[in-house]
Amino acid sequence: MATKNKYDRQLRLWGAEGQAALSAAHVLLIGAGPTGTEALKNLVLPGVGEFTVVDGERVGESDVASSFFARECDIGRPRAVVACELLLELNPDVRGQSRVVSPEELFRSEPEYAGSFALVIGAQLDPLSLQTVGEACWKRSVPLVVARTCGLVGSVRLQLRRHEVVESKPENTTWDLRVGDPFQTLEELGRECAGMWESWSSFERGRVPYAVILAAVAERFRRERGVLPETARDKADFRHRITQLGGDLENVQEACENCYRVWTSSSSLESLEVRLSHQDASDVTPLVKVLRGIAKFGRIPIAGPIPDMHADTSQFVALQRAYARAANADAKAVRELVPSEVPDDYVNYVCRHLRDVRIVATRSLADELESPDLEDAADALAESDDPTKLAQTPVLWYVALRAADRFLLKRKRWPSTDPLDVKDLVADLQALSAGKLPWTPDTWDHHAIELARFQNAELHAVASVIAAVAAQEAVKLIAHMYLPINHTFFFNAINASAATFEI
Amino acid sequence: MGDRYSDGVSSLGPQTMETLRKAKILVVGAGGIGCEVLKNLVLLGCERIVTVDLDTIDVSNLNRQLLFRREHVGQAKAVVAREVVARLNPRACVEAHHANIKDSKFSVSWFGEFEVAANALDNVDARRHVNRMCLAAGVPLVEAGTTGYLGQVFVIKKGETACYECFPKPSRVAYPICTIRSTPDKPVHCVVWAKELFKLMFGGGGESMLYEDAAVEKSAYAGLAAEAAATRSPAIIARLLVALFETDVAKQIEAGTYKTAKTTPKPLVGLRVGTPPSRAASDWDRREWTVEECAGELSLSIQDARINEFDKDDPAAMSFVAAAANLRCANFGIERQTLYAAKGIAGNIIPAIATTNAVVAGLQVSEIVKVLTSQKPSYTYCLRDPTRKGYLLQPTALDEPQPGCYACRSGSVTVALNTETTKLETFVKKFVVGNLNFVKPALDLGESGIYDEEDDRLSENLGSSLSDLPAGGIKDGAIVKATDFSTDLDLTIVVKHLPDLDDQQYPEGFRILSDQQGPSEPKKRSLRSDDDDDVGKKAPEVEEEEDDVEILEEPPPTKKRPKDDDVVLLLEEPPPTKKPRL
Ligand SMILES: [Zn+2]
Repeated sequence: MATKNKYDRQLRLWGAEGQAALSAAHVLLIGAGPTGTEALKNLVLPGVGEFTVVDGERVGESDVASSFFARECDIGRPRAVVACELLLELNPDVRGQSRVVSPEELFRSEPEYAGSFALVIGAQLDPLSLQTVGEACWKRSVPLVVARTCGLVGSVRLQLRRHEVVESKPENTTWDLRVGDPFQTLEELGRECAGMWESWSSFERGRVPYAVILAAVAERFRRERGVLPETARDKADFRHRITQLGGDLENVQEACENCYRVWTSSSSLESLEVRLSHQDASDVTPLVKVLRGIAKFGRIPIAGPIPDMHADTSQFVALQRAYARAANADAKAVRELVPSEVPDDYVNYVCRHLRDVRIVATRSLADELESPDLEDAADALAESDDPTKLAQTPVLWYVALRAADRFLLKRKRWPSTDPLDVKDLVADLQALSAGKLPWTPDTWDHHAIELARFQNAELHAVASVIAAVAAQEAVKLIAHMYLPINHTFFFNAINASAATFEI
Repeated sequence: MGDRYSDGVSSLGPQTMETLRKAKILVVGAGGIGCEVLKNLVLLGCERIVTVDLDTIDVSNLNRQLLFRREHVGQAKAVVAREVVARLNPRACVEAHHANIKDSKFSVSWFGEFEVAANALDNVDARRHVNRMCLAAGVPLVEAGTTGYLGQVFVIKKGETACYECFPKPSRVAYPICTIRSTPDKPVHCVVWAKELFKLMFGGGGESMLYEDAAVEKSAYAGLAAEAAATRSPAIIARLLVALFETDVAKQIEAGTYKTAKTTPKPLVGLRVGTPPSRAASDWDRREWTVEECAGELSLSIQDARINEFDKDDPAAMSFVAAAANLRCANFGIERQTLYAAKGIAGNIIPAIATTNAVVAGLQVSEIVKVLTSQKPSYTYCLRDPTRKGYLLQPTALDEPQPGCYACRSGSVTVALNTETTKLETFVKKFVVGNLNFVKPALDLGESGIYDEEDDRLSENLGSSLSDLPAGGIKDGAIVKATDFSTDLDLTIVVKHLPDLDDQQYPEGFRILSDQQGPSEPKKRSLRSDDDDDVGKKAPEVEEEEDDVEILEEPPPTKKRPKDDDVVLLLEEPPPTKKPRL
């Protein structure tokens, strides 16, 4: 029973594919303080394949006070070694090793090092190390998760040069019904339905799945008008035609509710333009190869699954099979157009989820540092009218934190509550905000003093929230499932609020 | 205080740190959320912590409850958790009780010694109890829960904010996964297993609880299940039935799965695929099928089932589940169920995740700090999708106590049942204890006592029907005063006589008409933020959940949305089209 039950809960969430990806992944953690080790813990427990911890510091009093992965008896030993030992205790299935070296030094001398990992987590890095690590990861297109805790606030930032998501699992399933652009069997079913409708009793009419009804009416509409409904008036006309078939029948009501599928369920590749544009990507991944095959195929392959419909069971099952057959035939045809080194299963997987395929990217850290974009954040804030709440807005805190980092970079130390430091910090803050953010003199001072008091400390309760979020993003990235955040998550423990934004 | 607390002192201030060090804090539950909360509190500098947990450590806890290791399996959660977290800070005094929080030794005055309590529980029953104890003792309670990627944290303060029971919740029951897979002892366990089998064969198997068995453990039925689903051939289905109910069971017994179990299952040797129950008989779905009939019904339904999520309203799917569940009942010597009853049992399973636990535990500790330092607490949701402004954790104002709540305000509850046939014993056990969660109930009718757990003189009343009780009997419109000595709770129960209660719909024999005075429709708590950002946006229906499979006793009203799909990541990119302001 032992190993059998161990990953049950994850399997139920990210499925066998997600678990396989996780246990095949080798993750690099840079920074073995509370935030970093807590984040890695959340990957070791569910069974990441392997990890490496890089850290150049030694365990100190403050580590012992605020980290679960450093004990009193470890004081003076390298943080990377201690963290590695204790993390390995959590799960015998996971392999791990450590390197005792300062990240900045490591990545300056071995910039290619990042390339050997599925994902890098940078935790509590000083601004200089972060730049070096960020650049190395960007160059080698390795996903980077940056986690940061500072007193009562903290952030997670993703840097993704190009990230493929096959199963983005959108909130609402978009069913691929093709009622406006039917495949052969559906067309035939529609024609039969249209031909027989008048002679059918109400009982027989009620047995037809709504997709067939829509296909039938769409076919007639196109024959009469030459095109499918486009204008609002055409659409109203179309809807009217459906209602006339018998508004008291449940399947007809369903057809009416689903009218829009006639003009949205296209097989044209245009609707996939954004994704297909990636077929020119320089990095020819298996996904890119399949997308190229689909472009040659000339239309979107049918997905297969259909939603439940009010209908006679045997008619519904027959329709389900027809969609499944059409989907298989399409996938097979695409298969022939994709180089043979891409496995059949993967081609099928992509064809089945094509509508959910997303290729995402974030700005690079360097780019953001160079020219922060505060427009969206400013717009969102402009709508808020409560100045007391404004002060605690995550974006303002984020900018304040950036200013403190700037201070650290210049002065090689964290600002203190000394009025001179605070004045400097406020000046940086003003420069960063460039007049776009709704600061008031009170909030400048308040945030600067608070940050100075935080002393960049990794308060455990805050670090554990930041680490959980970072780990969750890491799982999404490793599994290539769900959409990652774009690109910064900020947590403010003072009022327990958190938001994502792109700067 | 030395270096240990210097980070805390600089961020929170010396006064707050002093308060945290001295406060006596109760953490009820040392599971997924509890482990995180205990660790967070000790590392924050809290030095007086008490934890209570009834459970022992199971292998299935190891992959997310970070305080436990393989060598701890079988030991008490509370005790091991104390040992591990106490080592984090030599100054911390952590007290552990391996006990049920409902035990009488945890009295109202025992609760009263704490400055704040935190619930990290995995069942509604215990939460309601702690809620009432904290209300009685005047101790603020920080309640937390997660469901999949959703979570919420809120603070209960008597007279100031709504309590756990102010808003009615759907009642739920949790079952451990290994119970479903290996050691069922109730019909519902077999029904859940049958649904997982259906999912394995027709619902895109990867998410089935039985998938891992099939894929990794090479169970006796794995290959055949796939083949039967693909071919629908009666001959292959017959072989599948043998594999499921004979070979695999025998294999498990041989592997020693039941060495320590109370009962060992019986392989169904020589299982005959009989004629499915005839639909011609009007009672076909309301009588118990024979084992042969079940095999015939299962075979037929595998031939007919369509590839889809399980839907109890899909006849083939429901027949499949009823027949397969009954065959498994036969394996384990459990009473078989009619299809009608099985349909009533069939519910939905909701998974949970560790990272959400960590987020929620972090928020819970923030709220504990606020309570201890007299800052205004808030109600925080971990949302499924960001709000229009990108918020994923949304703090909102806490609700006021609801006037009709019988837990924190003296409210009343109205119940309908057949007063002529319901025995007092049933009324006490099923309704007062089972539903209202009374621990030591006493009932008065007018000026007469009719029941008191501790008064033997009244026990003879237990066998009487309600209407035959002394002092005029409990008849239509009767008002019963109920007192729980354990939680200091008084409640008025209004009884309505309902001779023809649908016993399929209300198998317990009663129907609650309203928990509250005023509107009889249960009010759902909706997410409100002060700037009306998200009016009408649905708040996550959050219940606790740790390792167990959770069954919704009442399936959600939307039949087409499988609940499992409701689970999404806490953090997702904002949708491309921003919602218009409402
Ligand atoms: Zn209440």
